[in-house]
Amino acid sequence: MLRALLTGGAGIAVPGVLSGCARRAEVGGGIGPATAVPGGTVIWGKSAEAIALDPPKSNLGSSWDLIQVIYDPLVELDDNLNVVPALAQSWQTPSPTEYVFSLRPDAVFSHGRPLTADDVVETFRRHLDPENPTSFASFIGGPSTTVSKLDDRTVRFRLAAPSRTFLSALSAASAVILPMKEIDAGGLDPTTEMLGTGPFLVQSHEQDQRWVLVRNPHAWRSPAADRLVIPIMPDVNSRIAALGNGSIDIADFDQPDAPLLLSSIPNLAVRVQQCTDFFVLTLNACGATPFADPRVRQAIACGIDREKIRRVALADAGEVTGVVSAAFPGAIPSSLRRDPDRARSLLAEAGHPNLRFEIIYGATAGDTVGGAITQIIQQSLAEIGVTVVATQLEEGVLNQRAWVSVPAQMDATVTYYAAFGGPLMAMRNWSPQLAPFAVGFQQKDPHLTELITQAWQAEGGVVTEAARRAAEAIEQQANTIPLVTKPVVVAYRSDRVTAKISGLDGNVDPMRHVEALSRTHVGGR
Amino acid sequence: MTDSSTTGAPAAARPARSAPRSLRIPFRGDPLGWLGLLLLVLLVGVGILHPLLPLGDPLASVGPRVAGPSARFLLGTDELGRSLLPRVASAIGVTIVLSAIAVLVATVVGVAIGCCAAYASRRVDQLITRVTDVLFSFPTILIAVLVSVVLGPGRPAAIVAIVAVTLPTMIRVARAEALRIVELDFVTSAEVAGARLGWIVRRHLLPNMREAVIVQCTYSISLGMLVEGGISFLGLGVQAPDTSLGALVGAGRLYLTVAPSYLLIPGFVLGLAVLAFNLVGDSLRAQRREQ
Amino acid sequence: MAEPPLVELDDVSFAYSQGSAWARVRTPVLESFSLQIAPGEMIGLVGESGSGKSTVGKLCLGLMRPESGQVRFTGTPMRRQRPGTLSVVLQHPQTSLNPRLTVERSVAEPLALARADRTGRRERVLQILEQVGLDPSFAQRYPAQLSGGQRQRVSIARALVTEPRFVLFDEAVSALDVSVQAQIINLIRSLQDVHRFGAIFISHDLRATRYVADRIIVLQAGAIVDEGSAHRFYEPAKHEYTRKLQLASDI
Repeated sequence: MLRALLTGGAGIAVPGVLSGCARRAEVGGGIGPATAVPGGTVIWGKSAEAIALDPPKSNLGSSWDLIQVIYDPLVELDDNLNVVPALAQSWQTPSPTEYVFSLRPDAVFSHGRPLTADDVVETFRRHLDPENPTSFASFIGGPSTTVSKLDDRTVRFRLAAPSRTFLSALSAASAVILPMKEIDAGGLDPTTEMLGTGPFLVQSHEQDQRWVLVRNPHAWRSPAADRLVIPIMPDVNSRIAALGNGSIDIADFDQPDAPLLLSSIPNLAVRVQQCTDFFVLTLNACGATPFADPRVRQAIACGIDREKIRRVALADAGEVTGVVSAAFPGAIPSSLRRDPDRARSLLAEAGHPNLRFEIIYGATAGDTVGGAITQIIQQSLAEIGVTVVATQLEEGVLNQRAWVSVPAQMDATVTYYAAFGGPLMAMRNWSPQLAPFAVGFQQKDPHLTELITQAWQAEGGVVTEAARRAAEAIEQQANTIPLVTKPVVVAYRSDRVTAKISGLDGNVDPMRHVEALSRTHVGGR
Repeated sequence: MTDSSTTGAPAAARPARSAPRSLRIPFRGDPLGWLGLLLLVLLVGVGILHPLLPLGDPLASVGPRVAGPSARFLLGTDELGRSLLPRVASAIGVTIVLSAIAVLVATVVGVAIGCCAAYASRRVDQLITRVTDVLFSFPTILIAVLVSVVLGPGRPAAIVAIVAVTLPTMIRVARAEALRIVELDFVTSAEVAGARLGWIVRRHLLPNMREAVIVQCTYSISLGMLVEGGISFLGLGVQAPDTSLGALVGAGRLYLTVAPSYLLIPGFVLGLAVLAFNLVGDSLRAQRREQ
Repeated sequence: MAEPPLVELDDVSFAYSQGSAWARVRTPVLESFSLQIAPGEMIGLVGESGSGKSTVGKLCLGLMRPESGQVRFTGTPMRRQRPGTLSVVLQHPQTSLNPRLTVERSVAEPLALARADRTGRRERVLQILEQVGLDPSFAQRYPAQLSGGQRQRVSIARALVTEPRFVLFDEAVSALDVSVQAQIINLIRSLQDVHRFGAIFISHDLRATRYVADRIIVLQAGAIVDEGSAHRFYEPAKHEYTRKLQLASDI
């Protein structure tokens, strides 16, 4: 289910988001004589249409940003990726496997009905359905987790084992709380309609054209702006031009080059937001490829110059990362080191001294990161005698070959993995048992799955011994090689709007502080 | 029999020439034709000989990212810090060669189909004509994209796309020429003397179609370069790290405000190449008309 | 008859169809037309444009098939003849020769088609060129370097190089200057005296035809309206249409 997001790679532009998290109306970014006044319309040029609207089933970053403007989760992340209250104003953990959440009394859906514990319980029952659990469910313990209502404002989760991913997972876009009373009654189809407790509600939508959102009058944290108009603008150059001529106020960009591209526009605030998501090189160890041999995979891992990828393909904007995204404070550093001599001898040993393989990557117009990373990989592997053929594919074809076919119809692909708000969450992608999308290319390794499960269950800080062991085993397996983090760039017209942009994000929500967004009052408009 | 027709050079006859009237290069008194030819030789020369020229490595990331022209990188660098000078040079070769190969294929197929249409029954001829019309009415870039999607991106897709786009016109030209020539008296004479289709095509049709077909080729190659540019611009043609003029324009488009030369230089060179082929084509056509 | 006619049209009808391939309009040209040409006989076929002269010529060469009736060559139904048996001289000097071929190659073409011995070809070409009044220096020229009369001479040389049994002259002199016309007609006459091929001489010009032909047939709207030995046509004709043609050509 996360597949498409994970697939995104060069392709799907991670959505721009204006959504907010530190949803307080104090404002950063306002400059000079301008002062923020509540009201007004803010226009966000969004890089990709939201097409998977039902949160538990939604697998696209380009939908997550919008979902997070309309709905709220129980908890959310602050700017340091700490879990902080949202719809749950507080919680207790009576035991390592038990969480009890108290819901806010003022949380009301945008049609006026207050949030109840039943909405929360039923929302998570959709995830934990033993017949058909969502992909997200593995983060919160899978179908063995039970969720129950203690009273109208109190909900209890019971897990089969302790989980280091549980709390931060609840902050994800997939875990937002739906108006389950209306959905269960059949009056609301969450795949086409959006009705949440968040700061905005949907007034109108033209597919691939624009969303018009207006302030949710019942929102427990009211946004500063009255309206949020969201034209869908997949073309980078049009977003740049629109920022320049003022037809949009704020926009999101995938291109690490965006600050450079935007540098000529005056009165523009440009923020690079570090993201926990990170690029990977996925080798297909399940098909008829040389990558069934771990020595060949390790050779590739040793051959890649990840620092050069960071410097050239990412324009210095991101970080070299290990399995635990380098964006997390206190992440486990990668154990992989560039070692061309070792790479060559591993290849010779494995009988592939002149290995040749193809890397496929996505072809969304204007997004050059996947292609750029692929070409740097190509350059650095050429130095160890490996020839890489790079092929850009149309997104649908790429999805089919890389993520749907079993075994995958590819040698390798460059893509990115969502790492969410918990340092260990992305680890599951190395286990096809925990992340079914990986079954086509990721070797089944019960030992590795065991190590990941142990890391998820271990008590202690972020960097437990168990987490370290799992990370190292994953990197030694070298089936999917972590490369660099995936930063996002958000730019807004500082003369026209005030905005607060977090420097770090975990849930593909680059503009988390949506309530802070407002038109700047300069002689009125 | 000592009439004037037997003895010498009547008014109609030109000074003796060893070759028949055919297209000649250089084009007499045609400076634009000369310019086109000169450009063509220059571009093809650079495109093919660039590995021998001291331009640098088109594939190595050796410089700063997206820099404008400088003493070290005469045309600047791309988003991966590769020097654009050798990249543009190799792109010229790729673009022209791809287009030329495709047009060669289109010419062989088009002339064969055109000759068949001219000699076939009226129904077959009409069928060929209608199918050609339908093909012709498809938007160029749509054909190109369809082909790339079916075949997967890469050079073969680019070639097939150019063939698909240039073939209908080639068939039209070849068919019209073949129909014209088939009606001429010398073909009838050969038929009466016992010539069969193969003989007539080889000896009478092809040599007399040659000029029209060559003129069409020059136009087709320039169209082909634009088609290649279009599909590489969309990422469906030549695959990284190789590049073509269209692919460079596509990549450079993003950096228009930062390093305009990245887009403008390959764009200009593509324009020059198209212009060169068109000038040569115009010149050949004018010469033909004169004859 | 001891010897069958060289070419015989027996009760032949022919119509052109026009319009699209799926909706044709039929225009009749010949109805129940019969004609016999003896070996070595030169028949003159005169008539206005559209009278069906050229259709008769094409039927005789097997270039078209009749709708009904039969075309016979030396007594057997017309089919593809051995190369070199039939030949034609057409009207337009500008298009009668392939501009890409030298005179020699053009003239040698029927020989090549008839698979004549390669070594003797050149000699034969020069010989026939001489017979049509062109000296050997013409062999290496291209049509662009020849006058209209010279081109028709080459055409005639090409038509006769294989010693064909039947030759069609379809308006072979009509496009030429009057003085040149006379030379070519003389040439055809004298060559026919030598080679004794059967021939049809198609023309709208009665004067030229009566000089060259043994027998003249006057066609009007696909039917024979007058017929007789060539001498007869020096006298004022009885038939009104023939008289009209006589007047037209005597001016």
